[in-house]
Amino acid sequence: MGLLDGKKALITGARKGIGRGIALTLANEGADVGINDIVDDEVSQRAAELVSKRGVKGTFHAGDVSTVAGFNAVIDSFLAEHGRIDILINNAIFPDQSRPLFDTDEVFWDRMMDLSLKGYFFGSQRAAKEMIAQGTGGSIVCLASVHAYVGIENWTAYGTAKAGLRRMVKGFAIDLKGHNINANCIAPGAISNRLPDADDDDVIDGAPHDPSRFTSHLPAAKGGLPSDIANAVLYLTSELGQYVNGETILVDGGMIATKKMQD
Amino acid sequence: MTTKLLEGKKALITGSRRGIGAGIAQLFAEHGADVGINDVVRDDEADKTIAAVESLGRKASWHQADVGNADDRSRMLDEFVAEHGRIDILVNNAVASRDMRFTEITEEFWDHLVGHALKGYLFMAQSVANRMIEHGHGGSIINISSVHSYRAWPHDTVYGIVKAGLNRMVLSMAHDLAGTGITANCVAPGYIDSRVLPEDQESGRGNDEYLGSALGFIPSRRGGLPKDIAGACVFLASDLGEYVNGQTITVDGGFLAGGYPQDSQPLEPGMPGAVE
Repeated sequence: MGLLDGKKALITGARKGIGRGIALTLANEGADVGINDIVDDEVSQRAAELVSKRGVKGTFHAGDVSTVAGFNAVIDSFLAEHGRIDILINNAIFPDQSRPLFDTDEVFWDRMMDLSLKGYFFGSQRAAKEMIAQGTGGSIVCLASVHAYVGIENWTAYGTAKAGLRRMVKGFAIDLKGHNINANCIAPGAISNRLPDADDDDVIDGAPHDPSRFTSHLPAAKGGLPSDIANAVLYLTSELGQYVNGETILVDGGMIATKKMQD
Repeated sequence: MTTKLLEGKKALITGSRRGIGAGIAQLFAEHGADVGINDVVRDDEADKTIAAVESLGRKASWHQADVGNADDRSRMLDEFVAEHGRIDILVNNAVASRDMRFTEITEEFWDHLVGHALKGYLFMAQSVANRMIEHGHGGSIINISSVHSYRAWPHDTVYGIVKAGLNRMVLSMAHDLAGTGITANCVAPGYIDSRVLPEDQESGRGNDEYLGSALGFIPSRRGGLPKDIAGACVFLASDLGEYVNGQTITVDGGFLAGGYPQDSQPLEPGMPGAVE
């Protein structure tokens, strides 16, 4: 018996890192989980297996969620396996998201906005449509970022997309009123998101990267782990957080609260 | 309930005789915490809250104290630690207030409200933080703020200032308590139906009648329940929220997400969740 028994959750970009941490955490609490990623390899399959190992259904759905057609195909594939959707976690992002201002060309901008704003929007729209048709309500969570709050050198395009998500979930909250769907963002701070090097990658937390990098600047005195983000997602998708709607929760160990990051 | 998130934790909740505070006490107990119940008077409501905690197999201690009074605060914390051995969680929830039109606000009113709900919260948090540092286990301090910290309703000037002050207070607590393992956060409730209701009317809690014209402005289409605020407190006080620090989480069913100024409806006098 867990906090999400019987729920059906789709998580985009969940092959590794934070997305995998979310997948395993939701599975630990009894949810069946569909893992999406654009990369389909043994790591992707392993992520789905790690879900199944927890006694729930784990499936993998390869696909590009930066286009409407691509996202719809992923949701179709998820529905074919799971029958319905209760939880959508928009988490997908490509590597190397930072780019100096004058190196930010139209190609980079479009790629950023297509994946992390347009994709998140149309994926949420489709999931909400399914949830309404099911009549069961549900939860939508988008991964935003501390970059949605503050300017940090070379992160303007990424931050702009993430700030858009904060506004987007308010709109979803309002436009979905009465359908028992809550839509929120989690805004991670500095989170270790590498897969552990060890053969046994059945852990949620990933490998701490450069642990000295942030600790002196953070009230929490440590960098974040995928489990910290996953636990906040668990809160919002479980009964504990069902009255939270249109909100963004920062999970950053106090980084933004104290503005010590660039000291 | 099999996933217990606060097993063995010791939590003091101020103003927990009834309403939101009692809801927090109950959910904390369901998640395995022992709790201290505080209020200025002990009555049937207080007894019911204590009995509810005990019926869940958890320990409930009673602490009669006025959080606006320094001696009371210090005695309450001493009593609590004597009873439970340590303190892991403080929820600052007690509030004594009423509306007052801006042009009529008196110094006495200001001192009373600020003394309880801002000064009282700060010094309660300070002494608890010092105790947590002594114990060396870290901990979680939660202030109950309000949607009034973000927007104005008629005659809520002092209340709104106090609540906005709490949101700001936790930023500095996050900073100054860095490295202690203590997190400090606020929960900002919207319309929460915390009325005292006869048992046979419990199912009507948060219903349309309670919300009246406000219903249309709440995307979740129901009034909030004490357990909704309690859920946010469980999140923040448990391992789930250990990396959340200096934050204010709004728990309002999407009320503040909406935009047009005319959407802001006054809370009716006596309506719980905002001003009591």
